[in-house]
Amino acid sequence: MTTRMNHLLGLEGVSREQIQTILDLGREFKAVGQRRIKKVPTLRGITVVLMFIEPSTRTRMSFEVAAKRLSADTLAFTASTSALSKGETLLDTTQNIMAMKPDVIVLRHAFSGAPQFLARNVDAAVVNAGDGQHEHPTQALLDMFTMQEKKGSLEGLEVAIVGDIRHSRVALSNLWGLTTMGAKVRVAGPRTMLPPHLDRFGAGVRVFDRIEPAIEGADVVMMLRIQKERMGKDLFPSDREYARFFGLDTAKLALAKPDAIVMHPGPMNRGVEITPEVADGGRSVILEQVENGVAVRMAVLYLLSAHLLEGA
Amino acid sequence: MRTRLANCEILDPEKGKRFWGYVEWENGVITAVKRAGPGMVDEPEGVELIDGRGHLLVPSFVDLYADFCEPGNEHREDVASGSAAAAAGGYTTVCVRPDTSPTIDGADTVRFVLERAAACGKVDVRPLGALSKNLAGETMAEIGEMAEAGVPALSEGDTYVARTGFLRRCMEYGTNFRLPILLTSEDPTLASGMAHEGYIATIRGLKATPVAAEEAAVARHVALAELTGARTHLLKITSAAAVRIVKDAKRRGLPVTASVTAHHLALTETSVADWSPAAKVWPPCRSEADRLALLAGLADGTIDAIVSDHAPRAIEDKELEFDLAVPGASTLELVWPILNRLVGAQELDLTTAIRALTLAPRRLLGMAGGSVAVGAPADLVLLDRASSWMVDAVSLASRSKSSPFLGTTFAGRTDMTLRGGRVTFARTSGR
Repeated sequence: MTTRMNHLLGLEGVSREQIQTILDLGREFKAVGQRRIKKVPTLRGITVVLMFIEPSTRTRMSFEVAAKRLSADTLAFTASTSALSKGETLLDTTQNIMAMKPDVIVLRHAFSGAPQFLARNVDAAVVNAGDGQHEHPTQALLDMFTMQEKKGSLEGLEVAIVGDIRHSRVALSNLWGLTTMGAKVRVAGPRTMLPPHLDRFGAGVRVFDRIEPAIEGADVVMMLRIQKERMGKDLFPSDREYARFFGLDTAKLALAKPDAIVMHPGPMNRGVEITPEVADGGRSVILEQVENGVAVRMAVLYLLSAHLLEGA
Repeated sequence: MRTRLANCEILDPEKGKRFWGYVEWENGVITAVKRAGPGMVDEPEGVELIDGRGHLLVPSFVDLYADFCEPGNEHREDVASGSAAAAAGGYTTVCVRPDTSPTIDGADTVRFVLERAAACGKVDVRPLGALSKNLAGETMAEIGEMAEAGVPALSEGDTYVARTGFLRRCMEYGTNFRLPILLTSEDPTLASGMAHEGYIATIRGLKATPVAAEEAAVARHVALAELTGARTHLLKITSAAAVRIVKDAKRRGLPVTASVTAHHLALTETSVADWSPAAKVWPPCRSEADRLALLAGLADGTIDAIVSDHAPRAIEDKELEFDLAVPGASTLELVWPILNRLVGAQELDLTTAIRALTLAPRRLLGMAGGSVAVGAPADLVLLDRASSWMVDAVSLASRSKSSPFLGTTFAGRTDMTLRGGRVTFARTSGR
């Protein structure tokens, strides 16, 4: 593998070639997960710290499995942001962790820009596992991996992303990644949940007021999670009304292409942004996304640290 | 003893004249302003001579809004270190924010700050009196007693007065004591964070505040100025929308004035694109169109004054994630270098800049001076316009070294500050 990365902080500015390299390598690593013995010695001697300063189960498990299948050593640091802000600073915590000489730090953090802050201050590769409302690059990579697996190519693919775009790091990473790969993105959701200036992404991104025209003729329908704490507050009146106007059900899905796939980054609010019939239906690839997440994260960890083992 | 400062270019912002010459003073008052030079022309007997080294001589700067953090946060700055920074920036008078701990909301805290300032003697430190007790927006502060103790104006600092009716009564009551009201303007219910709500905030996931948050508050403050007749100053406005409202208010003859900071004239939303805690200031630097509107507003007189909004921060306030970092920057010593750079880039007229630092704030506070003329106080600053220097921790006198300009190379800086004819600051290197 010739492409070498120093960090993976976001998909903004990451080239088409780099993204394709990760996706191609992900395919090779997916095969490892399907073997009887799901482990290769590739990253033996590499230490990966899973630093999760915001509650997360799935992403943390996914990174942990990815690291272990590559034979890397993992150690977990879990804390809540509130505890950290009251006591030790992120920088102090990190410097303590650096004393253990990790090669890779996977960071999940409630605040945008925290991985960049870390990358400026440590001598280790940093992977952004979700920062505030900024980016979640490995989620977008696994989404694109899944789309490519199901649809062959991302070029010209019509992808609808529906829901809370403004507060979604998954949406932003997908916007960068998908437009870089030549897909066409349609965005829909309540105006209260759309950020300003989406037009600056260019012709590759179109914004819709209603879910129906956004879904019509789409190859991929990606539903975003509505955070429970936002329900019935200032952003929309009730989960009931949200489900009716912005949720995905069988009738709305019928507007998409007959072979369209349904995606969701999880965890789902069944009955709010997606009905159980659709979530569990034949076009849902939601569980495959989870499996692909491990493969893509193996590829990312490999690209960030394999060069450290050269000549070792 | 007479003192003469010669070999300098004199700019008198009151008359708008600029010429080579010398200035003489005795007992703190200017006694002669003559055209001469460049160069040291003659050296009369019995006169102390200061070589102006070809620099620009203007009236000293007056600041309407700075935080000296005392009492309560002396680890960031105190009256002595803030005064040193102010003198090094060319200032002889600084109005300090009331949002200290405890709040400057009564005659006792006013006297405390005045005593601290008198003890170091470098700068005339003038505490702004809070509108409400503890800035809580509930009970009116003892405005009359604070006026008696010497506050030049009232202000709620960076705190928004939520109850518009209460603000109205404070403004009305303040007119009894002829005190202007200095207000910051942001409706906090529209703000979810401290970046400008625009494309940069969208792509960097920054919690943001829209221009409308400022626009709504500025419109409210103008309406109250009209209702109460109180002299109302809109501190550190940041947007084209605010400039438009102030322009309209002035056209209608309302008692409204406005100011801007040097950093809002120089920076835009892109300064926080890398989540830099040092660039986190409040209110945020906005779009390029807003920045250009601020420059135009200054040029056409809509914006009267330039304030430092000096907000010193400790290392631990800034070595944090952007969301957790405390907004603010140490600015007193960088106002002139920033403005001089804008003048060099032909974005700003030199006389306009000097007027906004000298004459305009004095008029707002009802102070004499602000010209280089016989009979005016010898409150002067000598400005280097060319020497190249880089902003770093050791180059700042302020206790706080936090600035979005750390590492920036500027041409020019303050060379000497005189208060009542006495040197309160002289750059040691090369003199």
